Amino acid sequence: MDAQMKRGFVEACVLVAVRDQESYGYQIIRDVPAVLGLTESTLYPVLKRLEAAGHVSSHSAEHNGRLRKYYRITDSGRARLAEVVAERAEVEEVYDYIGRDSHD
Amino acid sequence: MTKQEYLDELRSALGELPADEARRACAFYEEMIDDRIEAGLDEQGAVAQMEPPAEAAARILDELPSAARAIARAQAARRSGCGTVALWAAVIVGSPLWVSVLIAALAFVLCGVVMLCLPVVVAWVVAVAFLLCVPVAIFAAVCASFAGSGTIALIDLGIGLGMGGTGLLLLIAALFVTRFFVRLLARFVRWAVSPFWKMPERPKKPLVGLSPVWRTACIVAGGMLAASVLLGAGGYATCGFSADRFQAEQDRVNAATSELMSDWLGWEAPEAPSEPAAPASPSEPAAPAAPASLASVAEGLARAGDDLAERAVYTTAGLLAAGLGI
Repeated sequence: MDAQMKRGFVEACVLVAVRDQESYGYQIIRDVPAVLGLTESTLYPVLKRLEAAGHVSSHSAEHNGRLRKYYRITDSGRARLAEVVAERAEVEEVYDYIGRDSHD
Repeated sequence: MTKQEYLDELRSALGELPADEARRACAFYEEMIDDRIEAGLDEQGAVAQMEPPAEAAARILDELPSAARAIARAQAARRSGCGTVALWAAVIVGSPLWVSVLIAALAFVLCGVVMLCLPVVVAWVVAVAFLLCVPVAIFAAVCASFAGSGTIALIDLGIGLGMGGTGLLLLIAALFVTRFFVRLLARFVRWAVSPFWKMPERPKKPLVGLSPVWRTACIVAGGMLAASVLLGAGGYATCGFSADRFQAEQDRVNAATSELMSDWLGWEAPEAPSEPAAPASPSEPAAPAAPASLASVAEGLARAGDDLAERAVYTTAGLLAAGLGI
């Protein structure tokens, strides 16, 4: 997938990964579609941005004798997801235009 | 590579990042490695799945504003290269060069700021000057009506309205100019500060644009100018569009005004001119014999001048000359 398009989708996919229950870094990487090629280096800034924007909240909890950071979605995060979903019609329209065999 | 080696390399590649930021980033990556080990990989395998520390650090630094990023990268490079001592030596030895360059740059910026302020100052000074003429013109009109000359009163009133209208337009222009430069300065400051501090994005205010209030003010000013032309023409019409009669009326009003002023303020009453105006020539008998300085010549001209405006000009010139000592 084109790098630019990937960036647009990564944030939304991360939001979905923490939407229904809280999740942690490695789990998010495994949940998100492989085609996005998400690594910790791409995930870390995305999580930082989402937290700065208030779309995601985090807390640390003990797990097997070490601290693990858990992330969950916030209300503004859900609103952001709804926006992305609403854009689907527009995106499909553009793909229809690109994919058409002939334009008359 | 072991987990600790990876984390150490990451930490050093992050350079002088604020300790807080660096700690959080390293904690994140340590957690990733630990989760992979828990998922069944061994330490070497887990580290191998991660991105090389240098690349990971580069991505983290990319999130910073550019100046902090440059500093962090420079610090990281320095740690792996020669010591701090060499750097400080270079700074001190090179100081005559970079200090003078810095001073030159600051002087240049100061010049730029002054240049930007000049148009604003000029615009306001000119507008205020025109507006100040209005009370003077009204006062002249009042004196003229006391002296019983409708012609001059109308013309002076016309001049007053004309100055007022022009002054109003110039005031609007001054406000325009001020707003333009203030907004330009604000944009420039945000741009200059941005490498050091990311300010929240705000919609840029337009540099030019006329709101309805100002449009109304322009219409009012235009109206005043039109009225002034009408009054001036009307006044001139009452003396039959004749320059001689106009001048005679003007002389009459000037004489009456001077009398009034000398009553109120104790001014010297000037000699009444015996014939209609010719521009005051330097050979007027009222001028002192053998003028020795510009100031005394101007004084003579002021006394001999045959209308208020001319006398005012020569008096001012005389004061300036006296002040300069010529």
